[in-house]
Amino acid sequence: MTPVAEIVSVSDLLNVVWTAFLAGIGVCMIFSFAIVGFARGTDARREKAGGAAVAYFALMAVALTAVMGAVVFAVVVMTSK
Amino acid sequence: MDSDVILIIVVATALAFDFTNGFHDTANVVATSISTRAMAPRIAVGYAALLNFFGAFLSLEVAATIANGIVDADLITPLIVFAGLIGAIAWNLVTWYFGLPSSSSHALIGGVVGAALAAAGPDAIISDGLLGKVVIPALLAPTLAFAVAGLSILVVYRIVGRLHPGPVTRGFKVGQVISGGLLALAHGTNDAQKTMGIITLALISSGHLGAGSDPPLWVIASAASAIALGTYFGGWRIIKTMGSRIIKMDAAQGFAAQGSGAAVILAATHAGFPLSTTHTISGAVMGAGAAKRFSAVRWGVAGNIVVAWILTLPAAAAIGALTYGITRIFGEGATGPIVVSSVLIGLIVWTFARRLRQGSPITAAEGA
Repeated sequence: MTPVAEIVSVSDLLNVVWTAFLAGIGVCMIFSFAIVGFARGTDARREKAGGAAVAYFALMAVALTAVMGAVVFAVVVMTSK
Repeated sequence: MDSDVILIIVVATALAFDFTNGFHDTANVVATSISTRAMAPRIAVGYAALLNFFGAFLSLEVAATIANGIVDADLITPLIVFAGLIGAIAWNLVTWYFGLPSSSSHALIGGVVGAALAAAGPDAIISDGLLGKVVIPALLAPTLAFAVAGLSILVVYRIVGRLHPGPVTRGFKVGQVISGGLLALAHGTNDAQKTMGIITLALISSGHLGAGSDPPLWVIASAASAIALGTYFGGWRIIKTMGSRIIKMDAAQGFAAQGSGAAVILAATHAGFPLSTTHTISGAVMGAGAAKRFSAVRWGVAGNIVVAWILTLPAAAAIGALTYGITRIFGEGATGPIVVSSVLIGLIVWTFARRLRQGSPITAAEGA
């Protein structure tokens, strides 16, 4: 009987596991910050708090850029195989 | 002459399977976007079809696994590939009929393994490849997607929990357009390659390509087109099961399920594991639902889906083996595949007609 560890590449499987956790949770978390930035920024602008609005919208822009970067990275990783 | 006719039938059958794969698995990609109303149904399936097409060109890692890693290409004949494809198409139609999101990938692998077993015995099966590249990832994928989506939605709720629901819902609906697109891309990458792998296997077994060859460009382009077309014509029965019968989702859960599913599929595809997009996204949908409230998931429906998953490999294998036996009654020429294809086309028409008479379980208007 061939041991399972010899049949399946354990390191490949572990790579899949940690990459999936990092990418899945990371993207959801960063996108949530974009929504926080948008919602709080809109509230701040309505309350005429210009500085806070700029900061929140900057948070949104950075988070959205990071999400789009992750999407582009995923595509690049795929095409590199 | 006969061998060329068989090869043409095999390629046509493989593309037909690819069409049913897109048709059957549309739900994986669009169901959450439709059920949370992030996108109108027709726009969602059109968008998914387009990205499925482009996704098919991104990688060949899974195609190589299918063509060379699961059955011994030296012992495989075009007739075996044909019988395997019929097993996969037949099982896809059965599960579509009952609205169950089963795995097209496992149906394909099961069909080919069953036909190869019937034709050449256990020597034709690379058991290590089957276990390492199919069975273990099949167990891992839904569990991993369940865990990633569950943790993701908890993180999301923690971050946006104190905000007004209006902008949060609108924001995650926009996010679903992005995550749905990534999922469609991942689906095209992972699933279209299986058909590419099968056609490549047929070309190797008929002597048109050398062992270990990559799929030619015409194979890649035709597989991409077939899965995109199938996706566009969408299987609304399974969309209903995935979108609303397992759990009623909010936009944040839809985003978490799609994003986590895409992450798992892309990570696995990169490692060359031909995992099931159906298992992955179903696991992610259940994870996103159960993390919010365990009882929110309709576990009876989830149980039926898991039973279909377990049955897929052996059932498709049995149909593949039976088809090979029937085909061989007519000898090794093209008569067997022609007869079997004709019967299958008749069965498909009959099944669709019967389902149409019963009415579609979901309409574009309902989903909008």
